[in-house]
Amino acid sequence: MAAAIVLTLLVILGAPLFAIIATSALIGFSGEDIDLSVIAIEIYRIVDTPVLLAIPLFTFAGYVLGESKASERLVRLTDALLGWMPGGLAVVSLFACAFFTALTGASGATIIALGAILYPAMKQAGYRERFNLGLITSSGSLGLLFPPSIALILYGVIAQQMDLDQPVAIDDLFLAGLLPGMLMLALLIAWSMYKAVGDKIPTTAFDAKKLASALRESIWEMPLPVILIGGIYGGYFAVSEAAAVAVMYVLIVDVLILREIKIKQLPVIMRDSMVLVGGVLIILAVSLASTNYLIDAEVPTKLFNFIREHVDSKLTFLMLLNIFLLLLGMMLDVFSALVIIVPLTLPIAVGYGIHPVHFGIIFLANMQIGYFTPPVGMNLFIASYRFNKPITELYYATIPFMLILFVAVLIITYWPALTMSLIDLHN
Amino acid sequence: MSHVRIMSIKNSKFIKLINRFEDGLLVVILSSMIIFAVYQIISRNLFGEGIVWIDPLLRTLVLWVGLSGAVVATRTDNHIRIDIFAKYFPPHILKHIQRIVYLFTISVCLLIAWHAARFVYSEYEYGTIAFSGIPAWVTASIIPISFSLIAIRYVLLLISPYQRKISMDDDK
Amino acid sequence: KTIKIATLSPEGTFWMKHMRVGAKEIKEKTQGRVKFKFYPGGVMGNDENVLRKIRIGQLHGGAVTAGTLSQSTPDVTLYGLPYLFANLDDAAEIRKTTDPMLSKEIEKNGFVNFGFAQGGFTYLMSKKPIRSLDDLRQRKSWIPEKSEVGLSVYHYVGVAPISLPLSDVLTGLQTGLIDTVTTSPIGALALQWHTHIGYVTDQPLNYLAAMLIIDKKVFNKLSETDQATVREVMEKVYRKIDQQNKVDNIAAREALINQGVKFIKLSEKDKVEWERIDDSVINDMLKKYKYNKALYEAVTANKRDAPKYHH
Ligand code: NA
Ligand code: NA
Repeated sequence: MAAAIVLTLLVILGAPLFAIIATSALIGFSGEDIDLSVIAIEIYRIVDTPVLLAIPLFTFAGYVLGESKASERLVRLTDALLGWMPGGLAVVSLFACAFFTALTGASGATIIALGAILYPAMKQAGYRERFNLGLITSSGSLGLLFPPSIALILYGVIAQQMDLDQPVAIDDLFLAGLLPGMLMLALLIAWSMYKAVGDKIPTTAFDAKKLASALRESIWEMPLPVILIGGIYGGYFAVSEAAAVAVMYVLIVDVLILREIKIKQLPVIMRDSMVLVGGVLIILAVSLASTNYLIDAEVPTKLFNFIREHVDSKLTFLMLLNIFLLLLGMMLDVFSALVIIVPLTLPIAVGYGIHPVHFGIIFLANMQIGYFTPPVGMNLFIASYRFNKPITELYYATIPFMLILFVAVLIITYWPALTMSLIDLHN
Repeated sequence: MSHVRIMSIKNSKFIKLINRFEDGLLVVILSSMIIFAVYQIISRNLFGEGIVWIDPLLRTLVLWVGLSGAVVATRTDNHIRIDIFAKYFPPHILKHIQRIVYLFTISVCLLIAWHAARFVYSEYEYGTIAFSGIPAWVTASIIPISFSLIAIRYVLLLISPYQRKISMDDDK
Repeated sequence: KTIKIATLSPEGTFWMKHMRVGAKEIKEKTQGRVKFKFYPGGVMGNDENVLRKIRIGQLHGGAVTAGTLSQSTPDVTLYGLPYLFANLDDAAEIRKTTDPMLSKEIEKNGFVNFGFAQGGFTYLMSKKPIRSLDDLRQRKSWIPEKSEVGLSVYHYVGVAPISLPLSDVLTGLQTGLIDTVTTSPIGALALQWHTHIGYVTDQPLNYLAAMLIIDKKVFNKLSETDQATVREVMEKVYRKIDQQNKVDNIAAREALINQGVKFIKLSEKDKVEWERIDDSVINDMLKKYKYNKALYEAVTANKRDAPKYHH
């Protein structure tokens, strides 16, 4: 208890978060008489986590794009293409983030890599600071429900092995995630348009000439998403390798073809981007240790057992589940949460007649919000660091987005047809 | 990065040399990550063969680049923190608070470095292989090294604190 | 005493169910003196991390793949040698003599072992049929990382396989990044790779086995009677899991056939060539791991043409 008070005080006094998290892990482990070199074993588990490769590579690619004039071109292009529509650039940003997170997982790579180009672009287009921050931070986990999301695959593998009556095919999960994911996107798009109108972001009439020139200008950058999608689905490279392709492409375009960045500048861009990666990665590393302490002490299981005592109907189960998963999303990364909590909760859910595929989507939709739920959702810290804003600013910025996505989660939870209809249609 | 206050200790030749070395290390690690990752894709598509040690090497380099990046971030005390209350303290009190925070961080880093060194030694004793004959004590050695360096950086900051900008506007 | 055990096997599998039943029985029989705490689903990390955590005392044991202890007890890699057993029955027959010998070797090196559970044979599973080694050379084959035997096999086949993280394999199969994987029928179903393969080359590659180990230092602190109880119950549990796994592997093979996956045979000529490759691999492993001679000879007892023991 005393330790908790001292740690909280240190947080308030501005101690680095990695030191705080590490200390909490060290205190926890020493309380259980576990050799403290466990913290190094846990940090070393970074090398067993292939998804993390995306963070340094995509961050560097994002920085290169950020140093070039790519964000200005993006503004002009969306203005020419969607300028007639209120919130055009916000809509493009939402789609870009969702696509990117489906590739990289919700590890924060979206915020640090795409933030480098979307944040200045939205600023330039006249969006308010707070809206801009909120959109990028909350979109850092948007896309968890879209293929080829590894979280969906992992859920499928875990659920498949649990000996349930209904099958949990990963292909079905991919189908099931589409509409709920779209619903989240649609609600955020509606909100963005509403804000764009309210904040008087100017709209422009469609102009074919302007579009042609904007297209010509962006001719080199536009193919990048196509190359990434085409390369993955064409079997040329793995999802985990997409980042390397993006880096190579961006270097060739901005350094060799457009020459907006001199080779001389690259070392500085490399250093600055890797400093950012370092700040995020050291937190992820020590979080592995603090998470491992929670797992060792069986905290998530105990918490769930406590909640289970209050379940007496499907409705209370679902409601408590929503709250529980939000809490969990703040505490654990999505992979640990899946492995620990799905085996506990899924049998109960099935007992209440919830289809395991539907349950998987509910689970991930909740976890997605947990990533930016104040006070400790990991992506809030990453965004605060990336954009150099106080964390409180991020709290304010993300609250409307959180509420909107929470509405989406409620719809997803209590309206199973949204999730299941595409599968039924397909069969 | 450019807001470091002019102070003798930060401008000593030796520190500058170290800074350059650390920056260079980041550039070298990231460049080799890009080269190996791209080579893997090219080799597979052009010559139809994969190289098994590249993937574990890349994952190891993620750890290396991340922890080295964290060391460089410490140069300007640029770590993720919750900076809610700092602006309410007058500067002369803030200075003392910062010292306490630095002392705390130094002790934590040294503690981690010590236990990480024990981990590395145990990997050495046990002879675990990380990949392709490279011993795990080598690939894991970055953990004690980086946390020691972070601690040293904080000792330097303790001697001459870096003036963190409290009102944070876009730094870039 | 609470014994903390980690495993990659997820909660809810019959594996975990049996382990929990065994733990309950031990708790009752020892009047609560020996309890178990399980960490399933790989939450403590992969087998290597489980070993590290056993070394520092955070964990006391683990259900790990047999090869995990290769550093201290090279003999644990014996069952994984290519084409060692003709079929599952042959394996069961041989293991009657070799399991206790192997357990003894493991105990010499600091771990109490409660028996082995088979994971079945691995096979080449592919989108297009692999009828010959030439076919295999045309394929884009995935290989799990740290698969010593697999790497060696591909080395002698003369093609460099592709290694991807496990999480990328399903998408890789779907997109055509890879078109051939090596796994057991149970594995193919569990990881849902079976939805993207059409053919299995019906030539067993190697035999998978997992084992439950507990740190001897921890185990020796229990009273003699409690030790005997834990041994008796956990050995029984492992025998059950072993038998169930055999049944499941046969069922998984049937399931694959029912889903339209075709099992194809190598031609006699290719079979001979394949076995020559296997022998080269075994020779390499004999050189690399200094196996116990008696164990090696017992394991290869039914394989008359196995390479001779040498260092
Ligand atoms: Na989280
Ligand atoms: Na965590």
